[in-house]
Amino acid sequence: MKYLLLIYSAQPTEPPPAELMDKIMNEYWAYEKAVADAGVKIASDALQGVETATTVQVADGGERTVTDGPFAETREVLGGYYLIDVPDLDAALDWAARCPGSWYGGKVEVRPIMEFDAP
Amino acid sequence: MNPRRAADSVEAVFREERGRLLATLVRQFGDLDLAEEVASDAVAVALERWPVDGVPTRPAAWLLTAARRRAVDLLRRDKSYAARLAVLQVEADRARPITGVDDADDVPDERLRLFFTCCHPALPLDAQTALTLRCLAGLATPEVARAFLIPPATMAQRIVRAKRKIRDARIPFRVPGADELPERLPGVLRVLYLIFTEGYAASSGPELVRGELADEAIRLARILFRLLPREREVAGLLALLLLVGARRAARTGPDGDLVLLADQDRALWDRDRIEEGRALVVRSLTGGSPGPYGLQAAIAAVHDEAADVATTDWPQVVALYDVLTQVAPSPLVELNRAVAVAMRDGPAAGLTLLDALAGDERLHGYHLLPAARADLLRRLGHRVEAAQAYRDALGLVGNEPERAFLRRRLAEVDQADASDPRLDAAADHPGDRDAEDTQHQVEKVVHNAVAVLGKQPEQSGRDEPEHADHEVHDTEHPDDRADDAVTGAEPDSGHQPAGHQVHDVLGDLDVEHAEQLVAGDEPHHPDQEDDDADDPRVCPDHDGSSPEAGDRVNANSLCRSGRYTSTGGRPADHSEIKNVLRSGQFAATDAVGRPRHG
Repeated sequence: MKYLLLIYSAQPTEPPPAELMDKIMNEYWAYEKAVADAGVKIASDALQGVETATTVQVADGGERTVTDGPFAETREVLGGYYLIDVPDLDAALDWAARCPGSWYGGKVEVRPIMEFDAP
Repeated sequence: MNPRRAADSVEAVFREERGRLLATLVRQFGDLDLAEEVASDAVAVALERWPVDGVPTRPAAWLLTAARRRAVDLLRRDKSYAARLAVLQVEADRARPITGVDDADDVPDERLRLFFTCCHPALPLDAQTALTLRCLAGLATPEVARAFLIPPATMAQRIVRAKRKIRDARIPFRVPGADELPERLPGVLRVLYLIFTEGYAASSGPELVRGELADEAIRLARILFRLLPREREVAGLLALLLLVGARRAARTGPDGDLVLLADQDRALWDRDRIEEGRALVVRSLTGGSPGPYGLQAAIAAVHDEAADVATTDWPQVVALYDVLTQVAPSPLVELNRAVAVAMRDGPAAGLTLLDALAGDERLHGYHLLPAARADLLRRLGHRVEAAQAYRDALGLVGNEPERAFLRRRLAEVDQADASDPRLDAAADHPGDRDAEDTQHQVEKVVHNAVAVLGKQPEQSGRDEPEHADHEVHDTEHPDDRADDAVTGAEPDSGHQPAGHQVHDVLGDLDVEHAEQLVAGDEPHHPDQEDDDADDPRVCPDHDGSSPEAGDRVNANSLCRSGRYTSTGGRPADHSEIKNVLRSGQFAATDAVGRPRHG
């Protein structure tokens, strides 16, 4: 079963000190390696900062609206994701707990991927 | 035997059997909905046919076979459903060893998996309690709704939503590994505890006690204890429920009024439950660091063994609370501790501790804080303040008997205030505080508790836990009321409570509500519950001695007979079920004694 792990964290007001940044990056590399070695990873990416976000909406009449920023102004922003394939929710929750995104005040939302029958 | 009662009794057996059957089917088909449907069908067919055809020699296997056949039928008719289940099963099979046990009454007990699925932290708490009652206690959805005083449609929706999440997010049907257990087991224990408190100290509605619900919680805790006999907190929880539940007959008066611990007729307490609970406390506190349920149970046991409030071993109670505040710190534990300190050192000492808690927003809206203050103020003679505190408590409490009790108290202090206003000033002497609470060392306290609780008569069964612990108390007991006089804590001049009046809030506060925060839950806020629904049930008998209650216990004891082990590998023996089913309960249909293979 496929699950999307969505990594949310508070938007930092200032960049973390280099030391901490290195530490976190190393933790992420280790996690990357762990999900790859376990054969559960389908895809993963980190997103650029929310200040680079642009939102598009197309009205019923076809009129396109483009606005700066994310569609919802929340304190916590989506920073990256892992798409994994594991047997069940417990396994997905374990991977979420091992993800550095769920540490340091961050959170990982675990969403099962919807499966459709072949047409 | 009355045929109606016979049918009830058989159904009671099935209710637990159904949980077992359901667990086996969920394991096999990986789908809770399907398992529920075919399990119910199989039980319905059995209830119809066994009285006519005779009871099969292997009832559990008969039920399982019938349910499987029905499942195969259903799956034939729904190809895409079947395809989805096939995928599920293949994936699940990859992850588990082959047991090979697939026949007859050697059906392994899979209910532990079901407990962990129903109480999975990915489900909302109210759904966890509902699912557990439905799948493991065998209650129908309307019964679950009635137990929680919410409309059946709301409950049905809650259950459907939870089952959908189990299916769609694929919450697994598995027992957590040993390394995960410390994280997952408390969630299961909390669900059972919440079911109990909702039954024992109903948070809203006209009835103080909804006895059946409290009994269900005890029954579920017994099942869990059989499945996890080595987990000391499971023993602790079962002990706590038994020791608090033992007082139920004394907790309400003839009109349904609340009767507090201090005023209860202790002769009405259920000695069997107390003895059983006490043995379990010892077991829970032996062999490792103490857990919150074991400690709560120890406190309950200290109360249960006292002949009255005055001779209760308050220093022991306070010492246990001291440990509890370390093991599971929470403002509600502090609240209880403050009340116990008031009993040990006098109301002024307790009041100081309570006032320190007043700012804790986690207790905001919790009626027992002002209720406890009111009582201590009343005992100190501060009647105006006491009246205000009673009013505060009244504004927060949801269930009617507790409201009535607080109104009576309020009327008393108001009256006294009008007749003698001087009392208020005269008793204002806060100088007698002696709050030197020695921090007892955890081991010392626990060791002491175990020593005190362990040296009771009738404890020989503890040495043979394989058989004795949970069975011995369902059988006939000689009248042991004579023990009452000696089971109380030894009177000790240093232990006498300073107050000489009856201590009203204590009994209620002290044990029965504490666990909600210990277990990490918020206190009950009355306005969170739907209290518009009238509970149509009545609980006329709570002492377990009526014929009906007796039958129920019999039926339960069948399923309690040690067949179920945590290893799941031990052959089950259903001969007892057969015996009961044959023992004349079908006499009305005259079909007994013609057993037939299913």
